[in-house]
Amino acid sequence: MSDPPERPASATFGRALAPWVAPLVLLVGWELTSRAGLLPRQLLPAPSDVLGAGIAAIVHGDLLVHLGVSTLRAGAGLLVGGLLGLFLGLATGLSRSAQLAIDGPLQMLRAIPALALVPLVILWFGLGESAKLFIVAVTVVFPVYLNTFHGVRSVDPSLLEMARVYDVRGWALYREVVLPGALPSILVGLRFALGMSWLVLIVAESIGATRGLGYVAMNAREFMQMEPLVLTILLWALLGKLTDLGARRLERWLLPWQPRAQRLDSN
Amino acid sequence: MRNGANGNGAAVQLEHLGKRFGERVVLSGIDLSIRPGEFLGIVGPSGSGKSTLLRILSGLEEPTSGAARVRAPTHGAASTGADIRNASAHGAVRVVFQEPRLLPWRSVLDNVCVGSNRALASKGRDVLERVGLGERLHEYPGVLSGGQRQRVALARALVHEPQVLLLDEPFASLDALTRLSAQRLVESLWTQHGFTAVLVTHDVEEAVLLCDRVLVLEAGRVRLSVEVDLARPRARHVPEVGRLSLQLLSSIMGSAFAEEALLGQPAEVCQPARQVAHG
Repeated sequence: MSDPPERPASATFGRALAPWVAPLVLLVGWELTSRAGLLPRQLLPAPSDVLGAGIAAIVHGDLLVHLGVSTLRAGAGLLVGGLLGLFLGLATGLSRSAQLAIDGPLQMLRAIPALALVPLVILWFGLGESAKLFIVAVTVVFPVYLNTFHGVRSVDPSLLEMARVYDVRGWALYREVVLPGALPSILVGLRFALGMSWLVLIVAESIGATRGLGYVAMNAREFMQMEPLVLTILLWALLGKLTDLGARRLERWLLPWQPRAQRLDSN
Repeated sequence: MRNGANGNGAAVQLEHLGKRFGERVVLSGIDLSIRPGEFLGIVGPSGSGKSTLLRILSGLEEPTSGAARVRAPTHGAASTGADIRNASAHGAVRVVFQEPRLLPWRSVLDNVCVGSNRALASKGRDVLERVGLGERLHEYPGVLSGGQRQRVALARALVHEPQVLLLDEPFASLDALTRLSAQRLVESLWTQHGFTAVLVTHDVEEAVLLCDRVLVLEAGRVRLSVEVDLARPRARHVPEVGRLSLQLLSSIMGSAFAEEALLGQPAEVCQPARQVAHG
C-alpha cells in the first residue's frame, strides 16, 4: 500500500542508462572488429563509416528531406488507418450485429500481406501519394481495430452493473465507463500501429517513390551501396525506439490513474 | 429503538415473490413487508437465494412471479407504492456491493457523484466528510485502502439520500478491524438518515449486531424470522447477542455444528439426547 522506498540518485541514473548498454557494447565491438580487419567492409561497413555517410547525407544530400517525407507518410497513414480502426473497433465492440457483419471479413483482410496488394494498389491509385497512404493505412487499421474491440469487450462487467444501478446510461455510460475502460487497450493498439507504420514504409515507398527512407533503402540495395543501406537499417531501429518512447509518454499522460505496477512496462 | 421516527425510510412490500432461472427455482413464495426505517438482515448458506433477492430489490433482476413494491414515506399507508424497478431508477433505492466497484479513472469525488450532475458536488463533499474521507476528494481510488474504497462506495450510495439502502455483504472483503469500524459507520449513518436498510450477509453475528430483524433464507424460502430487540450500539459479548446468533446459525447448519462454531465446544453429534431433541 505504501510508496516504494526512494532509490538513491545513482541507482535511478543506472536504470535510465541500462537499456543503452547492450547497443553501445555491440557498436563498439562492431567498430573494433571492423578496424582489426576481421569484418570485411564490403560485407558490413564499420559504424564510423556509416556515421560518416549519414553526416555527409545530411550536409550535402537530402537525408533530412527523406526522413521528413517518410514521417509525413507514416503519420498520415496512421491517422487515416488509426481512426478507421478505432471506429470499426468501437462498432464491433458495442454491437453484436456489427461484430457478426464485419469482424469476419476484417479478419480475412488482416491475413493479406501488404506486399501482395502492391500491384492492385498501383492499378487503383497510380504511383502517387494516395497509393502509399493506402498501404500504411491498411496495415495500421488492424492493430487499432483488434485492441479497441478487445478493450470495449473487456470493460469490467461489475462496473457496467454499477452504472445500471446508479442510472448512468446513454452517452454518459460511454464517457464515464466504456471508453475510459477501453482506453488502456486502445493505446496498446496505437503503440503497435506506430511501430508498424514505420515498418510498412519499405513496402509503401517501393511504389514510384523518389523520396523517403524506403526509397533510400531500395536505391542502396539496387546499387549495393553498403553505407546508405546500413544507415537506413540503423535509422529504422532508432525511429522505432523513439516512437515507442513517445507512445509511452502518451500513455502516462492519458492514464494518470493507472498505478505504475499495472503498466505494461514501468521503466 | 426503532428508527422510523425521522421518516426518511420507505416501506418495502414483497408479495409472493418468485424467481427461477430456467428450471432452477431460486426464490419461491416470498412474502415480506419491511417497515419504513427498519434494518433488516438476510442470512443463509450460499445458494439460498439471498443475493438474488437483493438483486431483485435493486432492480438488476426481474422476479418471475409476484411483485416488489416500494412505498415512499411521503405516500400514505393506503398507497400501494411504486414498482421497485421504477423506484430504483429514481434514486430511491441504492446499493452497496461486496466490492466497491469504483471507476478507477475518476477521482473520489467524481465517483461519489457518478450519474448525477455537477450540482451534487457540494453534497458529495459533505457525505465524504461524514464517512471520514473529506481530505481525499481529488485522489484516485487506486491509492486508497480497501476499507477507504468501501467508504467511498457507501458515500456514493448515500449522496442521493436513498429511502432504501441495500447492502450486499459490504463488509465481507474487509479485514477484521476495518470491518468493525465500517459496521459502526453504517449503523450511525442509518441512525442519522433513517433510511430502510437491507443487509445480506453470511455472518450471523454481524446480522444480530446491526439488524432489527433477521431472516434465514433456505432453498429460496424464508425459514426463520427473528426480531432483535436490543439496545444499540450492541456488543459481541452481550449474552443475548450470542444466544440469537446461535439460534440463527442452528437454523442454518444444525445445532451441533452451530455450537461448535460459535461457542468452541466440540460437537457431540452421536449423543442420543440431542437426537431426541431434534425429533
